[in-house]
Amino acid sequence: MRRAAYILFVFLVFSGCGGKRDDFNTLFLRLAEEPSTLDPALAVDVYSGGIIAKIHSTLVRFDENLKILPDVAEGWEISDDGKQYVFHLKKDVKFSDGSRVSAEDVKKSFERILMADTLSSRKWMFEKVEGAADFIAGRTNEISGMEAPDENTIVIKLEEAFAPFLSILAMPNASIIKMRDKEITGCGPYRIKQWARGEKIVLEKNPEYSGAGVCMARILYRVIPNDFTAVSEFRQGKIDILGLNIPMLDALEKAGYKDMFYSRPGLNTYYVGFNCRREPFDNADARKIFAKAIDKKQIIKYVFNSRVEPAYSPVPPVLLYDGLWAMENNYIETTETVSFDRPFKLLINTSDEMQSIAEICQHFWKKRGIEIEITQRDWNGFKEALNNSEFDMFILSWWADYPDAENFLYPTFYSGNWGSAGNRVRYSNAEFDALITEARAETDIELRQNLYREATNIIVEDSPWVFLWHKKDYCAVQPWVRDFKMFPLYYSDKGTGIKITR
Amino acid sequence: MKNFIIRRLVLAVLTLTAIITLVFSLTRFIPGDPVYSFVGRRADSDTLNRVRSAYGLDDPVPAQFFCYIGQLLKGNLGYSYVTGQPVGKLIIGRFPNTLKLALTAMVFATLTGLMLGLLSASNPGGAIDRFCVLVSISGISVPVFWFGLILIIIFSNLLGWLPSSGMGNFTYIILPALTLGTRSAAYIARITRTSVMEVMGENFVITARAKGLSRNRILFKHILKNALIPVVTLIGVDLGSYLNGSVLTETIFGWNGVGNLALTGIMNRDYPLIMGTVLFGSFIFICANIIVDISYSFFNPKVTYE
Repeated sequence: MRRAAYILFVFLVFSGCGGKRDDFNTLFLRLAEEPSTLDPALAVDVYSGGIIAKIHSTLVRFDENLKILPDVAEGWEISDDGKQYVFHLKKDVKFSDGSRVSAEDVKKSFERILMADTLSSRKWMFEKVEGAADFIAGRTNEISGMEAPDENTIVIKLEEAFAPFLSILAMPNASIIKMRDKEITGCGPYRIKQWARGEKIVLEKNPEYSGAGVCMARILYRVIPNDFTAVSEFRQGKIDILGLNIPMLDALEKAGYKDMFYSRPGLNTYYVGFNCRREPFDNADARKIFAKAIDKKQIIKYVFNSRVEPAYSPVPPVLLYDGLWAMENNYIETTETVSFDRPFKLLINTSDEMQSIAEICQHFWKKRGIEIEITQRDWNGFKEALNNSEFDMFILSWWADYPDAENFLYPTFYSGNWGSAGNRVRYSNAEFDALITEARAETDIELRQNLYREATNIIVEDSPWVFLWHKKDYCAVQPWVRDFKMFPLYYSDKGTGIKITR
Repeated sequence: MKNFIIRRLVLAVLTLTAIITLVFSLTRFIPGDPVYSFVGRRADSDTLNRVRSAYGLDDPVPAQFFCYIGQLLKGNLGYSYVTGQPVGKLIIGRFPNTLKLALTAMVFATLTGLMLGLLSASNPGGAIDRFCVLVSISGISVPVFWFGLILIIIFSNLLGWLPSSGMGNFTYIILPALTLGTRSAAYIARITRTSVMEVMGENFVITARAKGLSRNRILFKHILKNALIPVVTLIGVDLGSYLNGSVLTETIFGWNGVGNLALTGIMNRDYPLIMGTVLFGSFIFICANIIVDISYSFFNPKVTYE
């Protein structure tokens, strides 16, 4: 009996050390959800975007500090009035089938997004291009503002100056592709080797890729829907890099994996939105009472273990070049009580995190005499209720499509974007509209930032949102991964530079 | 026998029709709109309408229903909104994985359950019996997802013996099969125990014992065959439900089966996929039940179908 126990003990000790690795050429990653599509024109979620960025290239791209770098284009000129963009393509960029990437391919890739049959919801990326509206409506066969004068040059003319345009061209949707019989070929560092739906996606090195830094022969994405299972797989060394939410972070921290954590500020804002078309939320003073009733610092401390940054404006501070204002000091919670003649409907989606946040908010409001009814809907039903304005308030987050303060102001608060276009609170303020329109067209970066700040101040003053917090991005990286960089945008990681050591 | 089968088949068709109608209405009348799964959070209303019309979602619901039925009659389960692939092909592609898991779980459940049940029954009230009853009650009471997670903690995290997720060689199937099969094993153990004890008291068993037959011969040859009918029912029905794909187990262990597929469909409001997986599941379940009914006569010739 004692001997058996001894054998069992030895077995336990030696079997406990996992993480034996015989494949040093494959990077193992986790997908929490299967991407719905890998078609750049249709991709709208982070899972598809992250993979598309590795199998496709765009004219320009972002580095890990959000600086714009050349990708397919080796250089570009922007006219002084900010209306004309001329891109010069690199001459050695090839699709993974070996054919050269020409200016005509760039033009076709962009046109495809605007074609009605493509059913892309990213048409707004090119809405400022001259003739785009006519092309979308089917009145013309070509976009007048997009020309390829020779093989290596593409000229894009805008109807008016639009400063974020260059950033938008780095989005995965603006990938340069080649279509043949519904097959999409890319020119990125990797290409798709296998897509076993529901199980895994395997990328392999694109032999035709001319850029530097592709050190992995393969990237293997495993579909692991359950967070707990993913953590377990990481602990067994079967996942190299794992994105973490806060419960996963806590679990790994307890298990002693703290040394493997990386984090950086995320480009997102969590908020409570008001229905600005409905009483009493059509009045900024009333909105402020609601906003100031919430002690976000307490929520951050007790729900998030201080792992998120409090938000004092809709724009993540990094996009307004920090050192902004003393908003933090202006933020004083109210203690006055008010009374309304009806309870208010707070709409949230069905996640545990949202539920606990909503319940705490409910508690804070109740302390000020405000009654709240929480309505939970699944993600899809939630979005529908949002678009149909079936709420008094809701809790949601906004994540950057591209790193520009405009992305946190124009879609979300401009009066022309009510409903599904982003302004779900149906906020409208002529002064703000004028400022943000001016900012979008301002080519001077300093002046533009100042306009953004002014516009942001209006939003803060008007409080169509209760600004809650900016989440940080966290991930855990195995010790054998070398030269790992954490990117602030899910699509700026092209899977290059990273290595596995023996 | 023939009449019985025909009657059951007619009933099956009626059941399936009712299921189609019910699920179709449910998907259309609960809040939510599939287009929101595809367009992201910044879409103009023109694109929303175009996507909606491309999937025929702007037609009146009755028109959509009859269109779907028409398609079904032609043997077409429709096309997934998300992947554009035929739903039938998607399900058939995943089914072998589900089948593998269901069969392994069922073999485990049957062997364990029968063994525990027989051990219990052979010495009712004894220590072994009490132990077996305890095990089977625990097995019935434990929630599936919790049990799965506990297995992962023990066998993957602490011991590092078995993989916790994915598909590969036979080691990958062990934890999901245990998770899935435990509840059935527990039920089988309980039913076997009761049923064997009941049969033990019958006159023919006393006769066999009086003839001087050995204990094992009586147990396996005389008692077990007669006691098996309720057990077979249980196995058949459980297997039928496992073959639908078990959403929880497949999600926890990243098992790429029909259950996972159904869940993806539900998350994305992929109506054709939801309809397809439900229909497929019901079909399998009905078939399993018919087969169980027919098999009764094999175990007990006294059972007739007229």
